[in-house]
Amino acid sequence: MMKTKFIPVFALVAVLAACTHEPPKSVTPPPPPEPEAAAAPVAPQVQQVAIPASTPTQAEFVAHIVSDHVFFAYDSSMLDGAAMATLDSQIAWAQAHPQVKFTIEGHTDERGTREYNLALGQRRAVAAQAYMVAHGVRADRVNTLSYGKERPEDGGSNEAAWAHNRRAVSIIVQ
Amino acid sequence: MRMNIKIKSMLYCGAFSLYAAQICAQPLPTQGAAPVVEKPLDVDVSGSSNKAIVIAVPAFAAQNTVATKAGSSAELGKQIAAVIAGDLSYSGVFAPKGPMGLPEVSAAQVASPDYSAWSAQGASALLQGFVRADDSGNIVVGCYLYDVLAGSELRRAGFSFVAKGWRRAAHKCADMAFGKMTGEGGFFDSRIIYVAESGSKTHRIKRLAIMDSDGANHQFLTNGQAMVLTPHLTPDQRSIVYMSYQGNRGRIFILDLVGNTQKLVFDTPNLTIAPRVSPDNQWVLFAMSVGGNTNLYRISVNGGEPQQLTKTAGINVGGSYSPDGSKIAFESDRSGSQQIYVMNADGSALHRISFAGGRYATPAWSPNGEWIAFTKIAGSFQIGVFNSDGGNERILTQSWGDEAPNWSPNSRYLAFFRTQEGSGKAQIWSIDLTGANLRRINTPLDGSDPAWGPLLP
Repeated sequence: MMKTKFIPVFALVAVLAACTHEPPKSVTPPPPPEPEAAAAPVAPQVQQVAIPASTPTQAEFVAHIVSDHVFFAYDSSMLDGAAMATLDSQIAWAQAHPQVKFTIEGHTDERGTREYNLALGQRRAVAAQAYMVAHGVRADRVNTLSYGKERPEDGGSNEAAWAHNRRAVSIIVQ
Repeated sequence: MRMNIKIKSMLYCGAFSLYAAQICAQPLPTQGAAPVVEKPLDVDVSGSSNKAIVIAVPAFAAQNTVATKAGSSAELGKQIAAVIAGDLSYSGVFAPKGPMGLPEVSAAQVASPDYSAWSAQGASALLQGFVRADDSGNIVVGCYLYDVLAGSELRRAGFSFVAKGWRRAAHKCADMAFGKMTGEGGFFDSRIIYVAESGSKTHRIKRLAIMDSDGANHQFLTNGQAMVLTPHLTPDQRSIVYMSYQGNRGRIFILDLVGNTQKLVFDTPNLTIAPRVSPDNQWVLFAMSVGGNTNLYRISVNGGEPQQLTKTAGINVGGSYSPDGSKIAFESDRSGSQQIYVMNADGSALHRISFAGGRYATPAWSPNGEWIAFTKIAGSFQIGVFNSDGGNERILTQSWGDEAPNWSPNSRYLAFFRTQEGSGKAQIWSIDLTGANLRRINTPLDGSDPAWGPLLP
């Protein structure tokens, strides 16, 4: 409920960013540009914001957000505060990059049956998708897909691994 | 009496397309002896304490040694007996002897065994036969089952296969013996479709594979570029339904084994999973996720619009038809955790049948209609069965990761997969309905999601 108050702020920031041709705002301040060591001195120029011809990479996306992962409790698809904060950062970035499309991949831990986990992973992906759409990201920009328990990121069989694997990951569609 | 039974067992003569093998049961020369009253051995298959029947399986006699496309007929005679012995041993009902270490049987002796000699070998039953090549290059196998203690013939049957189908002749012989001795249907001459797995736990490669029930004639059907899951043979055995991630979506396909063509069942952006085909081969039952809720649908195998069968929030998945097609068992978390429900095939008259505590998943209705097998999650992962109304629950296995039981065609064995803690490696196992005879089904790679096809014609 609290989140709904904050989200318009993010949306507004995104709109402002778009209007003023400023670099996209992100939740964590971007590091200052590093001087190029070997660059020859050049006359000051009018700064231009280049419209990237290619889709930003996943690495660029991740560098400007809290994380591309959100995590879930056992057998749950509820977004907790941390998950919502993470998605908020993704939403802000998404608003600043309106050409980018996403696939949210839902996953589970290994402690369940295969078909149920496919459905559970989908429920998680949809929970993240619904949050993004409810907070301003156009629905046709966010697909979902579930891998159930078939694609663990942490290969362990312990609570920490399972907690890490219960996730929804936002992937930029290239 | 015996003639009637024999004729019935030899009625079928037709083409089976997968191996392009002509299968044709052939009449055997009848024995000149007086009719023998059939008196089956006393076989108790209801519990795990029954003693295995010692059955001698000598090399099948080659009437004369000739070359066939599958090797010399004499060599084939040994191999056929070895396959039969392997089958019978696997069943847990028999303790076969031979073919190694047993005396050779001449063609003349096939129909007139020396009972006292076999009795002296410690055998209470005898399965022997002959192999010969016919004029068209097919292999004809004659198969004779004897009660050594009673000194009587129990059954005989003949089978003709193309040479490379010789293992199927052996499985038919083993099925004949199993059926006669237990009073149940055979199951050796059948195939298992499954997901072959390889690679590290975090990057598993999963592809379709098919094999005979004993693991022979193994064949990969997809190359592993797209992950595939949950394959099932259609009841007519012409096709396989399965879920695939090709195109980076999760959708259901049918692979036509005869034409080797693949067809998308329902083109949708939604996740579609857990396909099964109805016993009449007319419907594909599946689950589709819409807005986070997963419900059961069915669609004609010819396409069209799917028909929604369940309509609830939550996860409804894992449908399994009753053998007459009138009902569907499935799992649903509508009550808060996975439980098994049964409804009519049109979605009506839905009711829950699992109440014993724990989670219940992956229902599989037995081919004879009597039982539903399931995965139970209660601490460990268990394979169990109960009556089709949920009563008389019995847990057959348990481990860190037992999952997804699937019935042998005679409703006596369950294949399932067992995943190892840590490594994530999965292997295919089977268990007798009584809870005895836990066995690994060997596969070249790791394996999961075994699905047993019907008995081959």
